[in-house]
Amino acid sequence: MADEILVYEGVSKKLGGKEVLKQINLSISEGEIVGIVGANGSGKTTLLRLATGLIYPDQGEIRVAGKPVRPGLLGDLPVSLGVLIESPSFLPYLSGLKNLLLLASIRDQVNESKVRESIQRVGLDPDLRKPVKTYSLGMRQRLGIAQAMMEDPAIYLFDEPTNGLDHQGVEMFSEILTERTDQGACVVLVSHDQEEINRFCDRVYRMESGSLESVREKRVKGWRLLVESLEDVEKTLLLISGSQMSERKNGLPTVICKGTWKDEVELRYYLDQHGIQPVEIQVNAS
Amino acid sequence: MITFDVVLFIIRNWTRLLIVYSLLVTFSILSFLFFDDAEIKNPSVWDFFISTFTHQFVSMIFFPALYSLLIVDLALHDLMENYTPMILARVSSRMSWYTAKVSTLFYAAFLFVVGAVILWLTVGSLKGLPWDSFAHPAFQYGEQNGQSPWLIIFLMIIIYIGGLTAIGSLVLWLSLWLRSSILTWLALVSSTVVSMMIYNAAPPLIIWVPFAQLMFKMHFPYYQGDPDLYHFTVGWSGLYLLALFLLSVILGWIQIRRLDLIKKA
Repeated sequence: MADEILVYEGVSKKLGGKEVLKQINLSISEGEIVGIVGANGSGKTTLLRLATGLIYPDQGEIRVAGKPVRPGLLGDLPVSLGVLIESPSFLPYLSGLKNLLLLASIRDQVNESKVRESIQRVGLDPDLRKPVKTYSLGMRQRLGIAQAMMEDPAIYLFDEPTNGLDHQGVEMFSEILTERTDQGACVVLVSHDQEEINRFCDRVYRMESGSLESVREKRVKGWRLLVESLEDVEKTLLLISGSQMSERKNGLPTVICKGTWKDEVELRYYLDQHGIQPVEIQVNAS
Repeated sequence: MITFDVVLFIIRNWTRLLIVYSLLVTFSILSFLFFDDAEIKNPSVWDFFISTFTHQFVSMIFFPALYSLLIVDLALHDLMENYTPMILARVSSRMSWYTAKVSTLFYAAFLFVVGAVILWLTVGSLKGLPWDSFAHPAFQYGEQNGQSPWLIIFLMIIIYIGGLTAIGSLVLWLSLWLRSSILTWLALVSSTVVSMMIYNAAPPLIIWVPFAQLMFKMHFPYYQGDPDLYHFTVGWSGLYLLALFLLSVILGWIQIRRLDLIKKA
């Protein structure tokens, strides 16, 4: 199992006299996308704010890469976070590039070309001189995503990230998530949109009355394995329950199966441990 | 982080800076038109400058109120505009955020005071006042104590910058405590008015009033009219303002230590 990067342990929080979170336990590993779905005001955003140190838990602990988040005055705050919480609020009279360069100057970790690259990655033009106040909601959201990813953080916290994005924007966001998780980052994504959460996330939870309830443990993907020989087919059928032999493809025997492997690399590693070296692995929709 | 916060302050407040400087320009012209210091014959640019800057209305009400207008929402702006998540995700502690705010207060005070000094000297000069004499009683008494006019001007500017920074740190804490820029500014302006009333009713008490520390003309030895104020010196005001600054910063630290840095608590 990959390392746990973000852990909530027995976290409770009251806001305005109301218990917003009750004894939350959640851990997120490298390369994982965890989704939390819930109605407005159910405490989803509070969960994200706790990890950034914007608010502190009344009970329990939050650990990032093994280190507890201590939001007190001198406390340790995690500095490898990419955050998009609620509507991103940029300086209205500056361009997108200038806004991001200003934010990048806090840590002074990335140069202008990296910031430009992030803006391009989300489909915006870094040379666009228009002030952010003239941006559409979708453009502001894209800029918010670029802001979150420009310093290549290990943890991403996204609150309603596709809010205002068009179809292309949602596709782009999906690709970014895959890219980042392939590089080992973990993502917590909160939304009121169950469909969106189901689409992007490996594990899904529902937040209700301050408690987390597991909806789906792991995303099950469909896989197609092209192997060398019928012997490999036999081994695979014995190894992976529910797997089936399928028609040959490119002249090679083929097995289809379902599983929760994150990506091709993880599945190949698993098969290799059992003496199976497929020629090709293809991922199918679940 | 400090550079970031100073740049953020200037970008966010450029319209407010323009308004504040416009008010300063207007006031500097008015102060020249109504400049009438009976104690000074043939005043110079320096006399005009020191006479206005040490006036009780300017030092106790006008300058603190204007300066506070610039910085009253320095911290609250981040919270209200939902800017804090993007900042806190990039710093290692809340202390960095708060320290940057306090540093910005200093830069804002420096900008305000230096701008006002340049303005007053320019207006005095444009009106044809000479540059080569120092007739104000503060210069005269200072000279008797072996202090050059340049030292006196320097001390006055330092007291102003330090004083406004200290008052700013009090405003910063108060704004986070009240969580309202308007209430904080009204509280500050009310305090300046109360200070003025104390000055008029019981002058010896001004040594304890924060805003009176900026009133250079009442400091000994530049003012020798009231023996009760002989220990009201620049040194006293320096220590007083330093204590006020440290106390306000500590209160601010205590305040943000467990504060939810979000729009609504």
